[in-house]
Amino acid sequence: MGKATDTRSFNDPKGARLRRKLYRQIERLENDIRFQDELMALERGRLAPERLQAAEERHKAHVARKAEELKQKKAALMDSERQAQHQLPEDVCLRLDDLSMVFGGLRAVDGLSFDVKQGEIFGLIGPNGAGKTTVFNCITQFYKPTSGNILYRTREGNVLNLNNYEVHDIISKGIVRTFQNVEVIGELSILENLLIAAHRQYQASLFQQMFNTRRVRQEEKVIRARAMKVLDYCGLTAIKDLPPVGQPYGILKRIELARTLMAGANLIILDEPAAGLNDQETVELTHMIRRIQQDYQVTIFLVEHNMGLVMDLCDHICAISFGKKLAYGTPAEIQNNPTVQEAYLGTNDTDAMEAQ
Amino acid sequence: MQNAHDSQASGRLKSALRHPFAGFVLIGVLLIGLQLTAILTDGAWPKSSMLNGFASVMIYAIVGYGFTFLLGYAGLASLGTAGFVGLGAYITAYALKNMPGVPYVVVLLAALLVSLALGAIVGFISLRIEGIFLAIVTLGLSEIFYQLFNNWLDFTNGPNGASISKYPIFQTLLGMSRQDAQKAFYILLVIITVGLMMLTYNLGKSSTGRAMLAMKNSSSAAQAMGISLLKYRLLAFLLSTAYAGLGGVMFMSYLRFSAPQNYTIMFSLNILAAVLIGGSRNLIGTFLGSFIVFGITPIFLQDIPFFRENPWVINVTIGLIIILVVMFYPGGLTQLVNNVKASFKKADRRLS
Repeated sequence: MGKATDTRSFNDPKGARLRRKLYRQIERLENDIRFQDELMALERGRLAPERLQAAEERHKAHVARKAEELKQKKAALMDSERQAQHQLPEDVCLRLDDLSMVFGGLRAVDGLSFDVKQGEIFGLIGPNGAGKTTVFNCITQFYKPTSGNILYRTREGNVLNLNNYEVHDIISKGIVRTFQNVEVIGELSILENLLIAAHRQYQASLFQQMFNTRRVRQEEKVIRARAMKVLDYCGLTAIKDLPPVGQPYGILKRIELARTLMAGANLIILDEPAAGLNDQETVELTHMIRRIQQDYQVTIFLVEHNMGLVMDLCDHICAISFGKKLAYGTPAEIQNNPTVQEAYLGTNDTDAMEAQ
Repeated sequence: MQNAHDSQASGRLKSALRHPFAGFVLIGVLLIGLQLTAILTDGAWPKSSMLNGFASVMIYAIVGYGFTFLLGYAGLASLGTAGFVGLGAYITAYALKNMPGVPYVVVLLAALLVSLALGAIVGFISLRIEGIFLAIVTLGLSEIFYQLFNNWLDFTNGPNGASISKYPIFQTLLGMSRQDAQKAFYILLVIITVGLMMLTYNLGKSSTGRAMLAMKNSSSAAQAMGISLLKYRLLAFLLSTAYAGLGGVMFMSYLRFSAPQNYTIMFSLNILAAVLIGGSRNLIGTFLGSFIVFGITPIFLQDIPFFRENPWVINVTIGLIIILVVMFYPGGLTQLVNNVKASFKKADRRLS
């Protein structure tokens, strides 16, 4: 993780390069329209009526022009996606298809396949070293999988193979992750940590930023307003200007969750959200995850060792061991599955003796 | 009525002083004030050697601002700064001497472009290396530059150094006398320094500055948040080489002479020290840092006979300052100032 570049050239048989370009253009257009809308909303409370009239008209014309452009790009994208023929059932958000990740001689993930349904909370469990975090790193492209596909349905319904994208493009497809050992930016305030998550929403050029032009100031205002809403939702408003360093672990986890919301996630990937939390904090976190799933209509995919939390939250669970799938099912099915019990607790010696 | 008006005015003054640019403008006003005093007193005080000292502090500070992006924001340590400054200086000297028809602005842009192109190459190399290894690679680079400056006689005039005879723009274009041109260029330099402080500040506060900081603090979080490490590392390198190239152009234009021994590894280390003393991301701090490292000797100590006879004492003193700052105030002068401010506030609260 953290390698500066992955210059691996993409295997590009069906216009993946074109699609990457289209996605970038669409992202820019959507960002711009959203920005203009929110800016207008801010201006409405401020401008004098006669100037407001003109501003509204300009705004309407601008947005209409951008929307037209956006429509064309989206049509082109749909076309290209259809040619790529990535198939995914309507209700599936993420599909791992025969995924393998090999490090030297170690098969960390070995032919793993499962589906994550749209809008559910999905848990991935397994003993230490089973390859859970590696699966996450493959989905978010921190590692390029050795073989296998990762298909994902965007909020708009396009299906794409995540392997065609670079690690820093994943967020713009609506997939945001948190980290096992909480990666917050210590040198920035909590509010600014959220602004980092909105990095892709900034569009001003370098020179505009240097001269702090009107566009830059407006953008900053609009995106800060967005961040304030998320902070409010997560109950972090009171401490927004403090650095995250020295905050209790529960708060840091909440900052990471707030970041996923700030980025406009469709699929939130949580790597051991309850690790290092006390019981009280775990309960609060459980409530918060459920609340987020309902309020934001997102799919949540988590890895967790705290079985109470997993069984309580998840709609479906996949258990893995040594990179291979052991079982898939509802929490009750997983709890009663003998292979899972064996992987966690070892073989039952008395049973073995009786069999003899 | 009068009172209300007064309080409104003082309120406006207060908010103006609290503006982040207030400190930059203050530095600019002080620097120009020195030059004006010299003009009014007909050169009695400050002496022209002192003004030249301040001019070189400004030039080094410009280089330091660029280095801020690399060290303070992106967290990359480079020791190749000297090479890029030298490149800017030698391109200026060569162009002004051998191509008299070319306008100064074009020379400046050419120097910047060449620095940027080389900076891009180094940046690409640096993407694969980190930390101390990057420092070593750039150290090698700076040695290559030094040898080039020493031996490429046609371009640099070798160990004898390159020089230009006239101040650009003011002397060549406007036909001022040498003394006047020097004064005018000094003021231009102040304007450039303060302007760059503002631009650098803006960029540091923008999403670009934050992205670089995120990359420095946690490269995995940065990537997960959609920040391309490739783009921002390269950008940090390009910015720092552009500032260094500009510093080189200014060096040549104002001091009108440069020799290869100006651009040894010592120079890069001094820039590093200046930025560290200042507090790595604070621009006023960087200015003060370059003042301590580069300015104290020519501005004050040279006039004191004891120091003139024992120049090594100066180096030892500066070394001691660096050690003390790094030991007790790893955040640099910025941290010192903040601590003092905090203790004042505490005392204030206790009194009231």
